[in-house]
Amino acid sequence: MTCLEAREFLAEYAVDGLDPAERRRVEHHLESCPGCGKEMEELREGAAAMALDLPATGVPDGLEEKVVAAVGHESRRKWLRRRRSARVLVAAAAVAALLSAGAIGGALAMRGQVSNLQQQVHTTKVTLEQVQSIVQALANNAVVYRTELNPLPGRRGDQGGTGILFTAPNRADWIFIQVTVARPVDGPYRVLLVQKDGTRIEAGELEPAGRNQFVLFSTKGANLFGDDPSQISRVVVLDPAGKPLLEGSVKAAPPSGP
Amino acid sequence: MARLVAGDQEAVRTLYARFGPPVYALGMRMLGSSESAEELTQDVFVAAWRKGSAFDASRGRLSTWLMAIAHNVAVDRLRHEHGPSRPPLVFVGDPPEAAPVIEEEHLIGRETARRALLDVSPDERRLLVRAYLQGWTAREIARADGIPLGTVKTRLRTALIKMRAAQVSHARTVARAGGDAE
Repeated sequence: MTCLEAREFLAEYAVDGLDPAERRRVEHHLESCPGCGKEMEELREGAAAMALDLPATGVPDGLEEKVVAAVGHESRRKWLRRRRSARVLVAAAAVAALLSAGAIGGALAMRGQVSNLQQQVHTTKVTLEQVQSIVQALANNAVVYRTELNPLPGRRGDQGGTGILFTAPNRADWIFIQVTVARPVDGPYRVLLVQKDGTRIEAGELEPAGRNQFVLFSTKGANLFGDDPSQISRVVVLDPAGKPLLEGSVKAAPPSGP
Repeated sequence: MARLVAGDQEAVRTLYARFGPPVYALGMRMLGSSESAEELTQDVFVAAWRKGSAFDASRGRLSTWLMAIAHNVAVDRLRHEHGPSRPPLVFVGDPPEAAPVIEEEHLIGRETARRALLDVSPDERRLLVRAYLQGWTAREIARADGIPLGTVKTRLRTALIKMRAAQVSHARTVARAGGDAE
């Protein structure tokens, strides 16, 4: 929008007469144009003069207290939201730290300190139990779902995985999956979340975290799992050919202390 | 303003003492009931508290900023409650009569506005009342009056400039007399 175009709309903008799309276009222009901004401010002063010079009407008794209480209520709500957000961030940091620990576990396995793949799968389960307890302790109103991934029929038995789905409604959804694959092949291993009605949600691709280990840690924000995470019934890991490799049912995790 | 943003009760009371009555009066005029005007007043001060950190005194007056919030909230409520077919709009037959001078004197009572309106033509007066106090859009006014949209926009701009000029002139007069202009 040019200055010429913007100025055609400024008077209507000053009296809130634009539709939302026009309003956004004008505001976008005003952000970068001090000249039009000054003109708009002057027109708004004219508009405000209309309001300020309305004849006084009796203000009801008690309105001041209602206003003070309303601002106080919002102020407290904001404080609580900040506090909850801080706890979620701390939980995220804990998950990230333990994810590193999980990767270290994989590295140890490669050095022969974990004797076989089956034991490596067990190690990742222990790591995830630690993550779960910390997340639950730190994030109020959050729900944690767990899954144990087992090989599908016809697949090697010494591979598997485990994971957690964390959801703080409308604030943050995370998925954290660790998988041990016996003979990895090139190409992306993908994770699907399957809802009770069969709808599939792409959760992301597993990243290599060791010779046989793969990790998915997705924190794409709120509602990654759709509107109702409790509708997710299964987690499926697809191999690079797109065929199911591992599968696990999803269950709400019982509370566990730190 | 920093104290308001911090939720300081005294800052809220100070702001309310200054602007609570005109915000409530605007709510009464635009929304038509004491209940709606009270809700509007509460919403406006909560919005001011939320947006307080964005207020820049070097770019505009506190009164302009706060009344702009109030008007915006009131217009949103008008359009939400009545939608595109809100009752005051009449698109068939003759356009609504211009508000008589007596009514406008009732609407805009103080010296500043009276003086300003002396310079504002009858068409511009009616336009200001419809656009600002009744929440009509320029397009709606053009359709109702059967005049080009561009003419409505030009008249609205001219009327706002005249209102501001009168406000500035009045503020200077008050300042010279040793009063508080803002």
